[in-house]
Amino acid sequence: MITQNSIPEVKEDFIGYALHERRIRLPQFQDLGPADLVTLTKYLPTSSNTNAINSTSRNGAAIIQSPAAVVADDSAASMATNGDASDTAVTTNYTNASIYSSSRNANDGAPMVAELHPLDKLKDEVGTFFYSMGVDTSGPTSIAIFLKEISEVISEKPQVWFGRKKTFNVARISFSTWNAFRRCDINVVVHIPGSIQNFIVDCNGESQNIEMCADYDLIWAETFVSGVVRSIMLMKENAEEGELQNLVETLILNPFTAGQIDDVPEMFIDLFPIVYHKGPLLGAPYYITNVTNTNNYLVETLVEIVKLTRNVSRAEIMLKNLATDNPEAIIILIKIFLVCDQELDAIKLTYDMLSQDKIINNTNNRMDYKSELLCLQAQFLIDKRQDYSLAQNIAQEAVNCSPSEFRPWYLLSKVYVKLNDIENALLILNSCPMSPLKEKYVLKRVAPLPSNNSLHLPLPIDVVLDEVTSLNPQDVQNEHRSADPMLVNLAASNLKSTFQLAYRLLTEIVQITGWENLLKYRSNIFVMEEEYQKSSSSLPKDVNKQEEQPLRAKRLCERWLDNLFMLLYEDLKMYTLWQTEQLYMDAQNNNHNKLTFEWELFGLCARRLGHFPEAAKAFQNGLSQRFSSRCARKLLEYCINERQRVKNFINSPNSHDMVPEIVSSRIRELDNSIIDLCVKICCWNHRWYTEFSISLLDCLSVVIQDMSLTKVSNEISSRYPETVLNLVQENLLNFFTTCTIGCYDA
Amino acid sequence: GLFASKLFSNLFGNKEMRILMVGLDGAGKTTVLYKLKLGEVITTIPTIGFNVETVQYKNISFTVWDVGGQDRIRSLWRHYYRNTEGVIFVVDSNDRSRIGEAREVMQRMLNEDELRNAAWLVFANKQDLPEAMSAAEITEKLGLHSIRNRPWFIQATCATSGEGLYEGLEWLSNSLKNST
Repeated sequence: MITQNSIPEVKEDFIGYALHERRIRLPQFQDLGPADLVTLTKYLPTSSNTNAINSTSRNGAAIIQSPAAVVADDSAASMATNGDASDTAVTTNYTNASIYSSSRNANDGAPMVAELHPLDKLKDEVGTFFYSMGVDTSGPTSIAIFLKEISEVISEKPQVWFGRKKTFNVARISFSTWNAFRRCDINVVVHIPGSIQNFIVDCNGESQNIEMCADYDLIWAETFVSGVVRSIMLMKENAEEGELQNLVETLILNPFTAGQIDDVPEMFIDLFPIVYHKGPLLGAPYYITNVTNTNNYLVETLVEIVKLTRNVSRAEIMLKNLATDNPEAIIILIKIFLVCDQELDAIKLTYDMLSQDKIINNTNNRMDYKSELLCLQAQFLIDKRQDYSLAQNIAQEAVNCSPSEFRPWYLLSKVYVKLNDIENALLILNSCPMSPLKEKYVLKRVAPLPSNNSLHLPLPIDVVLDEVTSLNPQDVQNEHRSADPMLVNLAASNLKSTFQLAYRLLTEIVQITGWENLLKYRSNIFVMEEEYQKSSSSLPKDVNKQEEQPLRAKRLCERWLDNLFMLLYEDLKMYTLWQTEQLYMDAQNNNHNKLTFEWELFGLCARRLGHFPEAAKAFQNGLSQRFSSRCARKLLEYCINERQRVKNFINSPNSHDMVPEIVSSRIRELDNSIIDLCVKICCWNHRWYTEFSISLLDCLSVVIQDMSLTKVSNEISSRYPETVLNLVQENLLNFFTTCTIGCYDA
Repeated sequence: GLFASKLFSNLFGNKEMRILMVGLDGAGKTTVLYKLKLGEVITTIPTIGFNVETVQYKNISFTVWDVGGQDRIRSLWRHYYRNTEGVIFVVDSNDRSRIGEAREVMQRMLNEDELRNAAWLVFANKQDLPEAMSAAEITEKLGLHSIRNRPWFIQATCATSGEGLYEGLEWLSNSLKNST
């Protein structure tokens, strides 16, 4: 449901600006690369414009141009903003055309768009651009459909453009998407009127004809896979941050339902073997040091897709085939079984893999694969079996196999926490190899905003949910400025990557020990500054060995871990202060008068420290005053976990203490909250041009599993306006009808 | 000059008509389009996505969408249905082996709700080839007589020589007049 009001745009200072910026930055793109780029050339149609377009058709085909040359002259013409643009263009044509003359042959009859529709300056011509994610990039045809849709939406009725209504036509619309496997940009340009061209721009900014490439189909397969991996990883890697995405001029579509020709999840599974060996080129999550065939973004995406679509059988057949020549591919199947409730199959396969050592022997990254299998086992033992002593041995072996990886150390430390062996847990945590430079996958601005007033950010009025859509960003900003600086400056909220994980472990420890005891453990095993100074000042003297012995047995605390202790202290201090204040206020029957943003920050602080019910209460308080997407998302997360907890409780031996009616009414209450929160967040996302969220699909799937699709859809229609229902239908519910192989009840 | 022509078009009202041109791959759609547009025959390759051109005939400006006909991408035709006032279905009259396929594809389109008001023009193309079926034969093989509730017309054409193309546009322009 793309409308004029759901497309953000940036106005260019000169036409071709964004394409030019992108081209010069191509060599800097890493791993998954940037979001796709859409650029438009819009103009106000007049009779003279139309005449110009028509009259050129009589000029015949004097100059034959290659598609690439057309684009080259696009940017060249636009560079000469005030000069004689057409002169510049012609010169460029000839120089570029010569490069391509060899690759062109008599059969290359792509209708000569360039000479038919030269890039004459049209009346009130304006260049705009925006980024996009999730578009079906399996071929030029599907991209062309998307571009045609955008151009029709822009031109079908007058557009409110910087305060004025303008009846634009679109003369050209282009799409650039990064093929992460061969590090090049794939471009599709639609000329209206005219035809479609597609070509490659390589890392050096050189254009190549794509139709001439021997591996044409492979290039498009890679391009498609690159795009899907970007979409899924953007959501998955930033799940902890609430899928927050800061590049506002981006239209994010659901890649699963955006398929134009084939079913996207199935196409991804089918194409997986073709790109499997190049998977490591895409990079890997931030906690991976040594990227292999089984731990990279490509694999993560496959696992996520199968988890969401439940299409285990298709993936299983594909992976088993793949494993005949690549035995390690079974590790991927194990990961899929683990997230798709087939744990027994997973554990059996893991055992087979580890006991048949010869399978692993054949591969290059033998130790990495072994370690990965051991980690999967250890994780299972910790999470599902609570068998910590067995997990300890296995995690230890995983560490021995790949001592430079974060994950084995992290699991080993976690096991020690569970075993209440705090000193070892801290020592192991201190040994975790951290990766301070690796970032999560986030979108970055490729073309800087030309000026402060270049952004066209319409308010999507097609869907209105008052409390959500009428929230004024300016008010929220003001609220942020007036919030308690102590809360705002809690540095633990800014922790990234592996430090975020290490901090979570530290908070688990402090929950067991309390702060005072944690300090004692710390000074027992780590050299404290005071001791160190004492010992170093006594060094020149004749050293008494017996006195130095205890210091010898101690370790130096890594600087980053030391810092985490400081952050933990600040979090704890803030939490205690706030709780005390609240208790006092409650006793006085006074309202705890806080800003929503403050409730949000306090909730996050409580959540970091593992005080989940208190955190949930804070998010609720925040939401009772105004909508906040962060409060909503974190409360949603709490509801999902709470629901699982209640469900687990029913199945546990103690459940007879609980009256069944109470249990089912609690579940009903949680289901209602989950639906409400999903709907509101979905509307909020739409307001910011984001039509895709994995966490919302995840959360809603839990409710749909129990309630059926029809019931959920009825619940929503009974409580919300029709436009809201339609949006949720399109962005969330449709996925379950069309992409989940019928495993959810209609 | 510019002034006169503008006045002219204002007086008599230059109309616009949105045309969707489809058919099996290799039927000659792109050749038809550029013969109409340029008056000359160009060498074509299988169409990626679409070509779109405006063709002026009499006082009507036809916006013709020529959409790729390869089997894999036929499901995408639906994206072009909205606001379509006329369909040109191009058939390779010389290809007896695929006339059944063409019929199937066309009959499916006739059932599309979004196209229910569209005028239906069939180009029996490639009439210059020796084995070409006649317009009457194609009428029968496509089952055109079973079309109800809409105007249809079949025109024998040869896109390379241009024969028949303007007769087709003439029929379309008349059907536009009749409908408005």
